[in-house]
Amino acid sequence: MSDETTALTVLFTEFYYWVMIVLMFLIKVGFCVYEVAVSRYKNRLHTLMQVTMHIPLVTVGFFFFGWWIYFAFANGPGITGGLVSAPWALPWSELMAPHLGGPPASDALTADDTAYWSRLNGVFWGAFLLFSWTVAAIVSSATIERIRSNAFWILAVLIGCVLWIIDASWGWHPDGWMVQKLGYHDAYASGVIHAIAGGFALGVLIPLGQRIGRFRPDGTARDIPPHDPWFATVGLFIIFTGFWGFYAACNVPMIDIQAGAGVSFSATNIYLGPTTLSAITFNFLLSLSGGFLAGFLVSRGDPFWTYSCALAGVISASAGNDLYHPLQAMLIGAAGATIAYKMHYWVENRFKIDDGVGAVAVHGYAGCFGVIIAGFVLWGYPASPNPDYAVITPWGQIAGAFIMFFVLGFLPAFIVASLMKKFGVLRIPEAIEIKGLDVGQEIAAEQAAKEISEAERSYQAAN
Amino acid sequence: MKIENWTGDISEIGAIYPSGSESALVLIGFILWIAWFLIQARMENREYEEISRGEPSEVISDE
Repeated sequence: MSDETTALTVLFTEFYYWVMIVLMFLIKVGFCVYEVAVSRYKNRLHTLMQVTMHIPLVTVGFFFFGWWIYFAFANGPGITGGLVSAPWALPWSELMAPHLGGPPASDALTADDTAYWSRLNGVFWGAFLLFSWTVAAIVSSATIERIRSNAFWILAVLIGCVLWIIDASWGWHPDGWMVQKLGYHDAYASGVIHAIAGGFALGVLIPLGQRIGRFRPDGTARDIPPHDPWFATVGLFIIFTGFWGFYAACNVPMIDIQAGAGVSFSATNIYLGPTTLSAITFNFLLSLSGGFLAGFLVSRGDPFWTYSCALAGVISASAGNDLYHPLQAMLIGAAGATIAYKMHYWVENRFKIDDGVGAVAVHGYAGCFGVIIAGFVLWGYPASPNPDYAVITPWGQIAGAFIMFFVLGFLPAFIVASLMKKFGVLRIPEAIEIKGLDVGQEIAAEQAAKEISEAERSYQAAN
Repeated sequence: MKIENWTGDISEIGAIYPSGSESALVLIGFILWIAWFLIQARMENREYEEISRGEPSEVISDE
């Protein structure tokens, strides 16, 4: 690195993202605790493996092609230009491996590429990968207790390595076509992560169908309570903790933002527009509080829904949490949480959708609300620091919410899951669903216990 | 290519892993990744079939 300021900026940024990845890991821990606690006892171990094993599968896929898609698809392709060249993100690139930043060995890379990406490629890739895990885990939580593991893991790769990263390329990349043309602004991923995950989950749930016994003959829903309500809320609390890393990873911590002459260092949002870590601290906590307060009232103090509404509160305010006043964030969080709760039960009763944890509501409906409300509250604000790009408008945000939830979320999920259903590979057999997915492990445990107690009796008889 | 020492101009050092086989590694990794899905799908199908037929001991002995 050529000078001390550049070196400090790059090394600080590298360390910052590395720490955020560790914090974001807590989202995964929270999802594991939460999903296992929400599932019935007879399904708990299978649920644990379902939500665990997409971690390595999505990681490997994201190494092979997910990271490249983020850079390559910013123009659509075909909307504002063709595929964008991103040689540093190809899986065989020397920059997708340990590198000190010296001159490149490959003609595909420049000296600037290696100097910049050698220390940042891995940590940026890791931060985006943790977002990939999050979208996949959201879908997992909605489909628990009846989807085949193999089907879920294929769907997890589809959303985690392809679809969400296309939407990030379109609506999160500083030069994404949605940012340029629609003025799409979604600083902390109301749409880019949550609306797409909710839409995708809904697209899987329709062909997947309900759990046996979920609805009474008259069409009203039966409750399937968590086997451990306390741990379900602990899991959500851990997800809140990981959400700090999620938020901070959506920022660039230190960069010169002064256009033209002069130097002014600041943190920025994902679009390289100015914000501060203080801004997101205010707004994260106030939107969380708005969700909590509203959730407690609308659910009449139900612990699971109070915590879920707190999450919906943060998700609802996330699109504009770089720019809102904290009390705007609180009110938006409260409104989004209320909408998510009411919509969940309306959709459940009207369309008989069995969403195991309310994921479509908490992520999908709250995420869409968050994207759209930002269009009204921030109407006329710049969506990015580039003065040639569109400003934030309600119609740009409504179009963005539709693209995230329906075009990239619901539609591909519905098509792929329907095909899986047609070939009989989407849902577990009824007999297994009734016995429980852990039946194999339970029989093995019984046999092991029987064998060891026989061995103990034989030992006693012989001595 | 491999690193033999850390003397000289550090700013001239690029890749620090044993380089030269990246494309082959990607190919092998991709094949193994796809193979994992196929093997797991067969395991899962067989497990459900055997439990449904009431032969869970076969599943257990395989594991």
